[in-house]
Formats: sequence, structure tokens, C-alpha cells
Amino acid sequence: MESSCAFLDINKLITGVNVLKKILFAGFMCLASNCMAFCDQNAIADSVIVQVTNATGSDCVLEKAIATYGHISEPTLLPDAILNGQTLSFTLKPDSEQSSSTLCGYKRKALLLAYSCGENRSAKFLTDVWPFQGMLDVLPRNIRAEKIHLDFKIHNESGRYKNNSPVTVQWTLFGSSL
Amino acid sequence: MLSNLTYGESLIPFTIKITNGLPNDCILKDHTILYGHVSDHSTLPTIIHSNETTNFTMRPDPDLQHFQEKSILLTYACGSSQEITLYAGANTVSFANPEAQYIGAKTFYEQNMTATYEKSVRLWNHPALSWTLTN
Repeated sequence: MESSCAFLDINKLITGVNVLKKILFAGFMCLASNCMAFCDQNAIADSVIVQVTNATGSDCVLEKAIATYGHISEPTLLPDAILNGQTLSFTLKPDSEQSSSTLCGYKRKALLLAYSCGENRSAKFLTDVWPFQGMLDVLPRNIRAEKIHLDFKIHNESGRYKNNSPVTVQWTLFGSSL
Repeated sequence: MLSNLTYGESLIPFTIKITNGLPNDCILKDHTILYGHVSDHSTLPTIIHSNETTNFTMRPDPDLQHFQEKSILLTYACGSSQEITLYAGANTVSFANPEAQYIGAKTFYEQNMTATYEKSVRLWNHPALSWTLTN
């Protein structure tokens, strides 16, 4: 009797371990597929709005615009300059072909902008929004700034899965003596 | 020398190889590291002679190591009025699937030349990208 109870317990233990294995496997599969179960394809706006405000005291000339992922949408093409006090707004759209990770169809978008603003003032900054491990990450990066202070704000970062308005990254370029 | 930090060498490296298939030497005019750093005692190729192949390695920065992102823009000038900007990037898409390495390659501002690329994943899931500069 004693030995059959022990046998039963071992069986239960094995069953329990198997269930645990299945749960862990499902969890890993969810991670691997970016948790597609939570996707509502229509709930995510697959675009990023970038705004750049020139508060440097000088006009800024666009030196470089490189979209390593995605592209600037046609109706909002990037002008060659931002006048002092002016704010630009344009939209990044996904590339049609891109095999990097997607979240519910959302593709990575990354744009490097470089401006020179008057004498010896320049700024180079990256706007990077990408799906990673089931989340949308917004990574504004100051790559290099000389005598310009760069500030950024991210709008619609929270709750981005639940409404269809796009992430907005708002950059402001301030004049600086450093 | 445009060399570099060698910390964090245990993080997944990314090898970038560049072959100059042009009759002229190519000179590095500009570069922008977007993520990571040049590593493993390698340096950015400042001059690539005609028919020469050179390579360097990048690794992710420790503060963003969960992304495992390494990416760079390189602008080369080769002979008169030939210029190109190359983008090379790599990251690990999912740690649940360590084989899921993403390698990105694009060219920009092509002037009278072009470039082709080949992606590969080496031993231990190390991503690699080979660029060839051509007419």
C-alpha cells in the first residue's frame, strides 16, 4: 500500500513537471512570435511623426537625412532648412520589404538627421522606433551635438497598443555655448 | 586610428567586411556609429586600396545590451566624384530564438558607384555582412 501511494505521487509529480514544461514552452513561443495573441492589427498606426523645432537663434541647414529603416512619407518631404523659430513635422512610413522583427505588422523605423545651424553649431540625432520582444521601443538618440542642446519628448508612448494614433517624437534644438 | 573600447567583449559581435572592387583607392570620408562600438582591437578602415578586402568588428554597448544592436554608417570617396554611404546593422530579434539574427544593409547618396552585399551568420550566431564596392 505504501509503495503504490509513493508510485502515485511520482506519477503526479511527472504530470506536474510536464504541464510546467508546456507552460514554459508556450511562454517562449509567445516571446518568439512577439506575443501575436495580443495583436489587433488595426490598433497600431504603422507610422511615426517626427517634429523638429529650431530654437537655436539661427537658421538650420539639413546636412543629412538617412532613413536606415522606413522612409519619409511623400506628402511630408523634408525641406533643406528650418528657419529660426520654425517647427517641421513629417511622417515616417515602413518599407514594403523588411525582414526585421515586426509587432502585429508594425515595422521598425529609424531616421538620422544632421543639421548645421550658424557658425560651428551642429546636431546629429536619431529617431528610432522598433518592435522588440513584444513591445514598441522608442529610442531617440543624441549622436553628436556641438554648441546645440538637444531636447526630445515622446508623445503617445504609453497605451500605444490601444489607440491608432502614431508615436510622435518631438525634437527641439536650442543654442548653447558648450 | 579610429580604434576603440574593448569592454563587453562577451556580447554578440558583428563583423563587417568591405572589398574595394574599384580601380581607385577608397577613403573614409565620414562615419557615424548609431549603436555599439568598434571592438576586438579592430579599427575602421580609413583607406581601402583597390582590390583590397578589409574587415572590422562591432559589439553592442553594455547600457543597451538587451537590444544587442550594432550599427554604423560609413561614407567612402573613391576617385573623382565617386562616393557612397553604407549602412550596416545587426541585432538579435528574439532571445527565445537566438538564431533569429537580423542583419540590415542599405546604401545612400550613391554617386557614380554602387555596392552589393552578402549577409551571413557565423559560428555561435555571429552576424556578418560583406560589402563590395563596384562601379
